[in-house]
Amino acid sequence: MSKGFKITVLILSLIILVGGTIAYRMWNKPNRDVAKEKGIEITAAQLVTEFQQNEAAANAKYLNKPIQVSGTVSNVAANQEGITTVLLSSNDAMTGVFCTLKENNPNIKTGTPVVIKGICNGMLSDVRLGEAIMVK
Amino acid sequence: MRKFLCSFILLSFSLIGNAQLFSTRSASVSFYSSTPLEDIKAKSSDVESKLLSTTGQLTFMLLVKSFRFDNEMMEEHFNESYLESDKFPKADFKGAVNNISSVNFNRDGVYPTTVQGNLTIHGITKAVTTNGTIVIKNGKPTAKCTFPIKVRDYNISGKIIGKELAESIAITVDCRYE
Repeated sequence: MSKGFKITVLILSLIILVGGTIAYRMWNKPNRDVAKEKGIEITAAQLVTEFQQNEAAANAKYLNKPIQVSGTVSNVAANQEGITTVLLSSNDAMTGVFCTLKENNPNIKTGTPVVIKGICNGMLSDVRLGEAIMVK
Repeated sequence: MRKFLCSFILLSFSLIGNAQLFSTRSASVSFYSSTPLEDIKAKSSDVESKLLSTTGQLTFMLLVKSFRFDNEMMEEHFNESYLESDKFPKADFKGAVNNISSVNFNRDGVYPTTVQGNLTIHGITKAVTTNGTIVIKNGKPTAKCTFPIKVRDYNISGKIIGKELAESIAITVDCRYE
């Protein structure tokens, strides 16, 4: 075998190895962990007001971003999968910030001030945060 | 006359009592795609739904960004290339349970239903009809149905349709009302 051929084979196998590793790691990209991301800090009331005033603008600003929201717990429940959900009150009694927690937390009490970080999914009746964790 | 008025008022109240609006802020919607190459499923709980017991009116609305996949890359592709969830953050259904009169909301049981209405995904609205059930348990209804949809009907295109992603996928709605 000529030297040139050997080098070509070596380079080709390197490319395949590196490419394969990158593709494999991209495919197995770990799920997003909101705990490791810095959240946009805002109050529940302010977040709701922004969505009410201009939903498209608020979506452009907050959709899919980590949000660290502070507010008062107005309701704690479990969704159909049994996951804890926390509703934070806003200035409008009809709506609030609805957070679906990543892990169940039985210690959250209605009426207490909390800080929750989660990924903004948009607004239905409430602004919705998913994958949320309790910061305080 | 007074008797008549009394019974009339009582009757109106009982009629109002019968017209119940059931709602939930945390229903569940999942979708399932299966091909020989890949099974893809994802679920969302950012789903609101309402059901009116008298007319059978049924609506649900969900946030597309809230679908969670086991595979993060698939989640990104789903949002960016296929559903374009920045542009179309919501999907919804407005319709009715056609045979709502066959459901006795006061008696626990499983009632087969036909659901018909308009489903909007990716900004495209299509008329859909499917079968489902309403289960009454302790006076509270749970509505379930599955919509088989053709991805291309909703103007969703991409290289993997027909390969990793099936051309027809199943969207399952499960609403447990309060």
